[in-house]
Amino acid sequence: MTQKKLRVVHYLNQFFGQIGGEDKADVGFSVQEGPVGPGMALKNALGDQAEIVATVICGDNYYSKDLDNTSKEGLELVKKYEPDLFFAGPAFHAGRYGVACGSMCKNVGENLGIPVITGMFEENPGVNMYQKYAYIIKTGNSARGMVEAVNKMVKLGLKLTSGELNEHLVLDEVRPRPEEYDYFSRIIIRNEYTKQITAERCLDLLLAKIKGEPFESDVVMPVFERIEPPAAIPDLSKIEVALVSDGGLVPKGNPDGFSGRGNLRWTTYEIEDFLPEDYSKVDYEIVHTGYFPVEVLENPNRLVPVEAIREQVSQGKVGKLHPTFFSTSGNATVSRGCAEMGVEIAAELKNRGIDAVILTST
Amino acid sequence: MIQISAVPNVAQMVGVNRVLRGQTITCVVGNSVLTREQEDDLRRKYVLRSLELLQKDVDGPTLFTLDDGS
Repeated sequence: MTQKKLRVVHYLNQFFGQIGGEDKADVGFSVQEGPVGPGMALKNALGDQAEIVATVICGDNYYSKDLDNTSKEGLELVKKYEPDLFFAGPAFHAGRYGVACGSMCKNVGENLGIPVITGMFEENPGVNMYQKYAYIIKTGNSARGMVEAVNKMVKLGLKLTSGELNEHLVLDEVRPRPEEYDYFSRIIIRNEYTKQITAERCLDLLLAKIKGEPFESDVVMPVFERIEPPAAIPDLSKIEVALVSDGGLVPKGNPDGFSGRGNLRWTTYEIEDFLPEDYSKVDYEIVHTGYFPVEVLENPNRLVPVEAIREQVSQGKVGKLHPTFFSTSGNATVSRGCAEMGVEIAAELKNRGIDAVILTST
Repeated sequence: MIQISAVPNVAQMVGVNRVLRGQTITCVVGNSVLTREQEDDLRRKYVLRSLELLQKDVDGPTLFTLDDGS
């Protein structure tokens, strides 16, 4: 009994899809049944095991102008062919093409639940953007490496559709190692069985690092972007300062519904009402569950130093204290969520013409 | 912007440029064992140091303390 042939859909840009060069980069989507251009190399590599049922083609400019909508449009076209496996590109060093391939893979993978594979050169911006969402094979920087790239993509594709579980993993999964199939790490953490105990592995890694030998970290630390330092303020007596805190100080009852952990909300409180001179500690709550709140509740100025700044304003040291306090709670919130809140708060502060901020954290 | 934090290495790691080490995690701009007057004095120092640092140029994430006078 013959095994059912896998159905494959392939995505290409206008150039590899044989529509035209940069002059045709604005063309919209089109579909051709069967393989096109490098799809022939893909077909050869797949042999009898799979059939390229359709090639979806789109201009690089058309695709990249509105990723959300174009990826949806592309998905609808792919869906029709009910593929078992999806390939895009490879894109090598071409940036817009790489982004389009990554975006198509992400959308198809998430919506159809099938393996999605593309190929890029390490400097392609598509790698950083999409390595978590698709298998991106490592390629050279030009289409001279087409056959090699396609062969690697197919080898991985056939492995992923083989249903062969990885026995070293604790969970039953088809999860081939990046180094074995030469793809960019998807930054996924999995538990696996090892020959050594963790203590031995740690020491081996540490010794390798100390000796300057190659080693591979199990967990890769995130890289945070550099923020250009704002210029120093020449004259404080002319500026308006605002107070912001992520210590979770809110009115009793937490009316704005901050979460104790993983909070993603922020809000503003008018200082005159919220933290008057004759404040009463019963009016407050610390919603942040990551630190012991007793000291701050005794005197909220220990977190939000309103009185101390007011003093400097009255002495003419600082121009003005902004009448609104910006409050949030930052306990185990993912850094991306923190950054999003930060961007929103900064936009609001900028809108209000604030010159400087004192941010207090636990 | 100046951030006052009792865990300043986190602030530096994520790229905050002007970081002032605070007092403790549970009491970042104060000290509950001091008298009210002493504590007000301490808080005044934190605010003055913050204002001073807003007037200082930095090249990248820099950690300052209350007393280092840099």
